[in-house]
Amino acid sequence: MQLTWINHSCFRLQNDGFTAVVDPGVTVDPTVVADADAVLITHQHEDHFLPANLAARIAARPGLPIFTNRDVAALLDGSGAQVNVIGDGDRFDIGGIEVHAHGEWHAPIHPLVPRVRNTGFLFDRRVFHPGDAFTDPGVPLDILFVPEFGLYTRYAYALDFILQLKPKQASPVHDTGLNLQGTQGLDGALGQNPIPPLAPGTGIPFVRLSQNQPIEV
Amino acid sequence: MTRETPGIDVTRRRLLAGAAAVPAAALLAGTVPRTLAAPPARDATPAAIGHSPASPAQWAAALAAARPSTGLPFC
Repeated sequence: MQLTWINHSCFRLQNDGFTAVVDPGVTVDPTVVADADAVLITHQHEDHFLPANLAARIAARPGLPIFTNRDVAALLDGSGAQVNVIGDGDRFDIGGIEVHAHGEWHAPIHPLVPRVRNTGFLFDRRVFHPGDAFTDPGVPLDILFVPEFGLYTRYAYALDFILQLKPKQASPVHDTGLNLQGTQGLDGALGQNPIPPLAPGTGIPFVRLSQNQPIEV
Repeated sequence: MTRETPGIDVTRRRLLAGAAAVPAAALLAGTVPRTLAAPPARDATPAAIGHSPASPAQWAAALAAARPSTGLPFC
């Protein structure tokens, strides 16, 4: 399976000529789904789900399979896509890639901000994209994608996520809004080596993927 | 009185809740609660957002009008 981080929370997954795209939201260009055979959406916030990014692909391929939770599915009514409603505990296959769905809700932002349904995706039982949540899929992970910046997260949450799940590798996602100093600072503080006296180190490699560069996983 | 706040304790509780929802052994044994060999597919219908678009572009435009951009790609 080839995995390409586009930016923020958007990935392309390719396997045996099949292309799936996860969370093509407002931070990516619509061309990211131009050859998509399937789209997966963790939740309805526009940095993960932007209808304008999907319209052209659905027009070109009516019945484009989209896998998402029931709240996003309701928003896809009338789109012309084939909507597959999934939720916590479901398993499905896309192009030979096994996917397990985990989690129910977006991490809390504030009691005054309505929570939305969020579904994380576990690929081939070893690579986990949590969406905007800190769900534990309950299996050993090769790669854990860690939300680094946003209204619902902060350093302590990201650090606990890594320390509790103990993946072989952690990689940042959801970092739009950080400047270079911000990404470098947080990447270092979430990395494996201590930065006395501020960051304890996780002992786990924290690897920022290169954008638009496919990797084999 | 205990009041739920978006603090780290809440996050930790949700981490633990997530771990309990799908035990690792069950997942590895292929006995997760629900398995969709062929996920239920449903054709889109316009009822939920109250319009009858003739094209995906019209659907996207109608949905964008109904859900104004927050301008915050951080949530």
